[in-house]
This record gives sequence, structure tokens and C-alpha cells, in this order.
Amino acid sequence: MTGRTTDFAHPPAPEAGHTDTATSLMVRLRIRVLIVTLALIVGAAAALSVVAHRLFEQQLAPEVTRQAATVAEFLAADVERALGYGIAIEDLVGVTEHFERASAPHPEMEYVALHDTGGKLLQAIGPKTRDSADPAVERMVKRQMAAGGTGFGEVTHTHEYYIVMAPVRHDGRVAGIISIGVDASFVQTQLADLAYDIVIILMVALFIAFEILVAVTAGVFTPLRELYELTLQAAAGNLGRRVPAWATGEAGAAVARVNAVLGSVQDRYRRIAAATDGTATALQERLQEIGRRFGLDRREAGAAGRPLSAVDARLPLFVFVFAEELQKSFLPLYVKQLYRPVDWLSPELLIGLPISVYMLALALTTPFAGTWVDRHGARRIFTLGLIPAVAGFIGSAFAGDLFQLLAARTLTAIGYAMITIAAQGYIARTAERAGRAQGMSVFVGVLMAGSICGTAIGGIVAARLGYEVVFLFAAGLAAFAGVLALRMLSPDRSPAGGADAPARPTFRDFATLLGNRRFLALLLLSAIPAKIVLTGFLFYAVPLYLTDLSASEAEIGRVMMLYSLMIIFVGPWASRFADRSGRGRMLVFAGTLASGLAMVLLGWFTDFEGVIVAVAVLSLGHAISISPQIALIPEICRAEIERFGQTTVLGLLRMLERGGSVLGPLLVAYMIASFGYAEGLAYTGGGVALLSLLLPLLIGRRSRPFGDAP
Amino acid sequence: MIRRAAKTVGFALLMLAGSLGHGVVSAQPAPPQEPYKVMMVLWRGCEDACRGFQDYLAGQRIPVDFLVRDVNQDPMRFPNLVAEARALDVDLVMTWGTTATLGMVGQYDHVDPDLHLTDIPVVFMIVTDPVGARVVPDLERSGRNVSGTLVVVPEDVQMRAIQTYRPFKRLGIIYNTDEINAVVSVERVRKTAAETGLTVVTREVPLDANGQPDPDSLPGLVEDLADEVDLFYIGSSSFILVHRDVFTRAALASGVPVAAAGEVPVVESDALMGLVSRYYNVGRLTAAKAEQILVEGKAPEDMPIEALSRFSFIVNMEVAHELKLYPPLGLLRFAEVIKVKQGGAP
Repeated sequence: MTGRTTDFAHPPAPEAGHTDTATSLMVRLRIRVLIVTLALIVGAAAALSVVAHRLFEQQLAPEVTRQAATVAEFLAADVERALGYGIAIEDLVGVTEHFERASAPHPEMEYVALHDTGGKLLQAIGPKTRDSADPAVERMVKRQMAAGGTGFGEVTHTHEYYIVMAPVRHDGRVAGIISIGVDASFVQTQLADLAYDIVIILMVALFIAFEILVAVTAGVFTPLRELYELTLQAAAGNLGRRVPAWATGEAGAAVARVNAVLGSVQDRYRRIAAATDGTATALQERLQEIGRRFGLDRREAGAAGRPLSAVDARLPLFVFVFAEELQKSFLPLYVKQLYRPVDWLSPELLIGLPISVYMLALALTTPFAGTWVDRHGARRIFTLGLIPAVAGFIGSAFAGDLFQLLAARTLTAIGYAMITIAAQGYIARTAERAGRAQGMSVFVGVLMAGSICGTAIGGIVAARLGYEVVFLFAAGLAAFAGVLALRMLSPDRSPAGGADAPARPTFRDFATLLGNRRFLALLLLSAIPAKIVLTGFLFYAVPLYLTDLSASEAEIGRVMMLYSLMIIFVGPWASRFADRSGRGRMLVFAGTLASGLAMVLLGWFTDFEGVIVAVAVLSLGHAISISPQIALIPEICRAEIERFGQTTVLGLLRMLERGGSVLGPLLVAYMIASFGYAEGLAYTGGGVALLSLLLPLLIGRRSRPFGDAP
Repeated sequence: MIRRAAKTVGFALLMLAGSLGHGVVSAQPAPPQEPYKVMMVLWRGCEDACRGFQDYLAGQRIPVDFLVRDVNQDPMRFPNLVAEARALDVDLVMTWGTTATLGMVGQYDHVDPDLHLTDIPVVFMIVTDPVGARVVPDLERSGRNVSGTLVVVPEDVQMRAIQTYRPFKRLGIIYNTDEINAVVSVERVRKTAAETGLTVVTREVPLDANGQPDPDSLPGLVEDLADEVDLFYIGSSSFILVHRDVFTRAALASGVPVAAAGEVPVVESDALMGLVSRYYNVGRLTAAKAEQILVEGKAPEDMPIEALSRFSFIVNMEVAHELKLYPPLGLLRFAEVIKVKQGGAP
């Protein structure tokens, strides 16, 4: 820096490196703030979970053993009654059946046993049979009897059980003992469930904190960065620059102050120039030269308003997607609740219908939404889209039957299409600043983050407060997204750069593209199957299947969240790997195959863990194959891209693959109706995997066996 | 918690326990009014059913003057009572037992308006088979100024209750063919037994020289059938009821338990168990019918003739000890255990 500032006569042009330094400074600062925020949240959550854990253990364990003690006393009274009728304790009939019935509503009660006064086991249910009587219990009974049988109310905690005992009294003496063993891990399981919920909420808090941080820091860092650039320019001798004065607060004040100082220098220069008017020409020329060199005779970039930034759209989009994804973990269950049989469709298909109809409405609205955004601006379409979306949420909450729900979900789909396309369009318009690809990765990242948060939180809220509440919550959240959009999005009526604007595809474009056998193969063997697996398996079947396995909505939410997590964390890595190694085809093939095999796994592993593994493998498959799939398009559609442009070709792929989204739930529902869950899903996955085997043959290696146009 | 466990344990026994489904207290502030006049025609004094009837109406705070008329097993007195009821202008007549009921109202297809009540509503109780005795043509709708209640527990409920004691497989019934009640009862047991996995084995009581069923044949019949069955069942049969002592003792001697459809063989003889309508509760249910007629103004001809929705499971502990066949623990929570020896416990 030092060598530069002194040389006024020959100011060097500002280097790009300075801007980079500023940006990296901002990034570093932002990361530091994020780390501090993270540390605070983790600290708070850790403290909370420790407190919750302790409270829970203090409250839950006594509650569980208290219930067991009540049951024990109750059963002891039954035995006492029988003894009162003159039946000897050894002659009691139907004891185990009675114990089974009494303990059936309490799965945590692992065994119930009747002992004689010597501690010997007479009758029992659970793993403690006559042959494997718990010596610990026997010892305890003996100790109690020796102590006069006064301490039966106490809870004994052994390695496996909390044990409670109740004496059976007859003729004023203890005649036997009922003991109940509560599974110690039951309490642990409850605690683990609580811990999961806390971890999920923590993670969601982190995502939210990050989004808010990005939005807030943008208001501070962007003017500061511009101020920094201005200072560099001024240092280099250009005093004519101004920072756009849109920021508020401290940063805004600093900007205004610097602008004012620069302005006063220019004013003084102008006064001197005016004062010297009419004097010696040499002096005037000298003054003009100074003015030119230091930019005192002109103003640059002063009045322009706030620049469009991809950051503006992040938070509103995140909040809206959060709202929409709240229903994901339980929608099929909600449908099941509203379900009334009709003649013309099997129950399974009927339950799949809302997802399919939603996807269809989404697919049909998307092209129009693009046109509207071009014509009316992203901000307006974003906020207008909230009207159907919120109406749809409220309608879903109050739906009285399946068809009202279908109508409500259709409204939400229309809103979703308008809002996401508006946000995408807004981000695309900031392309000059950050690069379109980066903008799109921001867009997808926000969608996935919203999806993770919404799915997980929706499950937790649904499990505790019910489905209707979640939809009302979504409506409120979506309305809030609207407020954010109005505040944060800049009006942007001016249409995007004409050259890059996607032309509306025509039927001829479709026909030409579908004539490309390699495109067709990619579409039918990878893109559409991927969507079928996504909507049919993950969105439709997983909630229903997991509910069959008696999982709660919160657990379903956790499992489904895996998908977005995998896409967020593995996706970018896979994308980079594909770019660097050029093995995109391999990833597309492997990913599609894996997503099929994931479902085949369910044919063997039909339990809860099996579903988790299947969802994880499927998510991994999609994470490694989705972006390479798109990256393949320029290669296999070279001729078409030359004719219609890449955006149109990609747009067509998107539109066509949505057919898979619509078909997915119905196809999987049909398979489940025909073969049952495990086999139906396994066959569907098997089909996807088998089809994917054709991919390497039809798309081929780098050679061009089908002879594209040269 | 206690209630929850009780509910779970108590599940399937859809009977037992005392309370009445009908006995919903309607706390209507009764305006001071003329008490209803209810004549009670009894066969052998005011027993449990009679008291249940009176207690129910008192509990509902319905003002009633009871005109209790005990005929003391004398069927000649009914015509006088019919005349008296008319003379006193009573609001309702209640009859106890088949004979008293037929005495007051006659068979539905042989009504003599001079001898039988047609103008005053009548409710009957403790009538074993109202249709068979031709008191009414149909339980759903009597079609005459008569209604009432049933006392016999339906056979399917009986069979299910018996199975909660032990999973019995072969059921023995001894009956006399000249009694239509008994024959019909056996038919009904056969039908429901097929559904509950029971096999029914029957013997008919032979006739003596006078063409009457021979009570002396009972011990031999029981002993003979005892080899083939694991439970005897006494359904609706006056003949067996009369000779219940001989019957149940013979069964006990052969080591086979007896289940009965009424309380008498269990309470007064050596039957092991019975799922029965307690007379007191039947009385209350009958009083609820009377209330509908008196207070709500319902027409008896349109009222269905119903049984209790809950019955009592009686277990004779003396017999259980003798047979070493104890009721299961779960059943004891609901069963009414009788004949328990005090202080003689092991």
C-alpha cells in the first residue's frame, strides 16, 4: 500500500485483487459471526438439553415406576381376593392371562411375577420364567420378609430393570409378592426421543440463524465493501466516485459521511475553478488538469439505488419453503384420515392422489409463472403467489374431505410455482454480480435448507399438536414470508436481459428433442425414474409405511429430512467430482441404480432401520446423480442447444421429468395395492434399477455412436 | 390409572356387575301431583325383583302408591284382582311370573275382556318365555296393552361366559322332550355352540309308566353322560329345575361341573356357576318400563321386551373347592362368589 499512495501523478488502476480482498474480508467476518452465533446456539441448546434431560429423568422415571407400583398393588389385591375365597396361592388359575391383560397397555413393563414368601417364582409373564427367575428379586424378597415386609413400596434399580413390588396379604400376614420389572431402557428411549427433537430444533435454529445472518450482514457488509472500494479509488486518486446511499444505520452514516467529504472537496474545487475564471489561462489549464486527474470535475455512480442482490430473495424464499415443507412428513397420513371409500379408485391410489395432483398443478403453473415474472416483476409475483398459497394452507387445515383437500393443495401448488419461479427469476437477474451458476446454487441450497427445516419441524409439531395446527402454522409463516419479501425484494419491473431469457418452448422443440435418442434415454431411464422414486417412495410411501411400523410423525420427519441433508452436503461434492473427473455419466448411472436398489432393500429389511437405510441410499443416489445429469445435457444435446439455447433445453427436461413426479405416487400406490408395502416397493425399485442398467449402453461413453449432427 | 387397568382387565365379560344401562337419573323437578296408582300382582311375596321395582321408582322420585297384592300361589284370585284394579282406577299393573301374568292378561289370542285386563297398561317380569307362554306374539312389539322384561340370559352370552371360566370343549345337556321350552333351549345352544367351538351332547329323559319324565332316571343319565362331557348345562327346563338337587349332586359325584342359566341351581343346589339376571336388577329394568308408560306416556304395545344388558356371573365356591376347579384370577374381579367358607383358608 505504502508505495502506491505517494505517487499522485501516475495513479495505478485499481486492481481486481483489492475487491477480492474486500470480499474475502467480508466472508471471513461473516464466518466469524456465524461461528460465534453457532457457539451461542450450541451452548444454549446443550444447556437446555442437559436441563431437560435431568428434569425428564427426575419426572419420567418416578412416573413410570409409580404406574408399575399401582398395577402391582392392583394385582396383589386380585390375588388377595382369590386367597380370601379359600384358593391356595399354588392353586391360582389364569394368573398369567390376568397379568398379560393388566400389563398389555404398558409396554414398558417387561415382566410381572408372583412369588411366594421365600422369593420363589410361582407364576410370571415376560422373559423371567420359572427357569430364569431373577436371583436379585429372590434376594430382595427375602430381605423384605426378614425386615417384616415394610419396605415394599421402594423401587429397586438393577442393571436391566426398575423393580417394584407389592405384598399379597392374607389373614394379616404376607402370603406372596407381586413384582413388576420396568425396562430401564424404556426411560432411556424416551430420553433419546427428546434428545433427537432437541438436536433437530438445534439444527433448524442453525439454518435459520444462517439465513438471517446472511440477510442482516448483507445490509452492513455490502455498503462497507462498496465504501472500501471507494476508499481504494480515492487513494488511487479518483475522488469523483460516490457510494450509492441506500443503506441505513451505522454503515449508512459512514457512507453518507464519506460521500459528504468527497462532495465538499469537489465543491471547493468548483469554487476555486469559478474564482479563477477569467484569470490566467495557464492557471486554469493547470486546475482543469488537476480536476481531470483526481476526478474532481465529474461524479460517478452516485444516484443509483440499491443494487439487486441474490441475498435479498434468500430469507423470504427460505421462510416460504419452510412453511410449505411442514406437511411433508404426514400428508399421506392426513389424507388417510380424511379418506372415504369411492368406487372408482383403490384406497392406496386415492391416498396418493393429493401428491400427484399437487405435482401436476405445479408442472402446469410453472411455465405461466415464468411469463408473469417477466411481465410483472419478481417482487409482485412473489407476493401475489402468497394469496393462493396461504388460501391453500388454510383450506388444507379445514378440509372436510379428500376433494376439498385436493383443491386446497392445488391452490398451494400454484402459489408455490409462482413464488419459487419469482425467487429464481430475481436471483437470475443478479447474474452480472455473482454469476448465474452461483446464483442457482444459492437457490437450490435455500430450497433444501427450507425443506430440511420444514420437514423436521412439521413432524414434531404434528406429533404434538395435530395436522390441522401445522397447516395453520404454515399459513402464518407464509404470510410472514410475504412481509419479508415486500421489505427485502427491490422492485424489478424491468425485464431480464433479452438474449438470455428462455423462449417459450414449442411443440416442435419437444418433438426435436425427443428425437434425440440419448436425451430420450436420459429422460426415461434416469430423470423420470428419479422423480418417481422421490414422490412415490419418499413423499408417498415412507410416511405410510413408517406409520405402519408405529413411528411418530416426528420420527418420519427425521427420516425424510435425510434426503435434503444428503443433497445439501453430498451434492456439491459430487458436482465438483463430476466436473473435475469427467465421470458424470458414471455418477448418473450409479446414482440411478442406487436409488432403485435402495427400494429393493426393503424387500429384505422391512423394519424401521431398513427404511432409514433405504432412504439414505436413495438420497445418496440422487445426491450424486442429479447435478451430473444436468451437466450431461450440453454434451448429449449439442445440436439442440445450438438451435434453441441451453435454457430452453433444460426447461424442457424439467417439464418432462415432472411427468415422473405426477406419476410416482400413483404408480407406487398401485404397486403397494397389488403386492403390499415391502414387495410393492421392492418391485418398483427393481424396475428402476433394471432400467438404469440400459443407461451406459444408450447414453454411451464419450464416443458418439449415434452420430450427432457434425 | 386404576380405572384404566380395570377397564383393560375387565374387557370381554360383557355382563356382570350390578348397574343398569337404563337407570339414567333424570332429575326433573317433579311438580306436586297426584301419585300414580300401581298395583303389584305377586306370586309368592315381595322378593328381590319386587324390591328392585319399588326402589327404582323411588330413586327416580316418581310419586307412586303401591297396591301390593300377593296371591300366595293361588291362581283363583286373579279375576278379583282384575276387578279391583278397574274399581280403583289404577294407572298401571305389574305382574310377577308367568302364571300371574297370564292370570291378569290372558294369552294374546284368548283374551276375555271380562276376565283379563285390556284397558289398564300391564308390565310383566320373571316370565321365562313370554312368546312360548303366549303372553305376547313378538318381543319387538307386543301389539297389546302389555310390555315387560326378560329374565333368561341369551344362550350365546351364556356360552361365551362359560368359556371364560375354562375352555370347555364338550357340553352335556339332559332334557325332557315334552317341555317345549327345554327343546327350544337345546336347539339354541346347539346353534351358538357351533360358533364357540363347543360340541353338544344330549340325552333325553325317559318316560315312566304314566308317560311322565322319570326323575329316578336322572342319576344314571348323568353318570353315563359324564364320561363324554366336561361340563353339564342346565338351560330352560322346569323338570330339571325341580330335580336340580339330584341332578347337580350326581354331576358332582362324577367330577363334572354344572353351569346353569338361572341363579337357583347355583344358589340353592350344587351347580358350579351361572350367568344370570339378578332379580333385583330385572325389577329395576321393569320399573324403567313402567316409568316410560306412566311419565313419558309411551304405549306398551310399541315397546320392545328386553333383557338386562349386564348379567351376574355367580360362582359356587364350595363346589369349586370340591372339584378343584377354581375360577381364573381375572374372572374373580367380576364374579359374585358365593358359599365361601369363612376362616377356613389354607
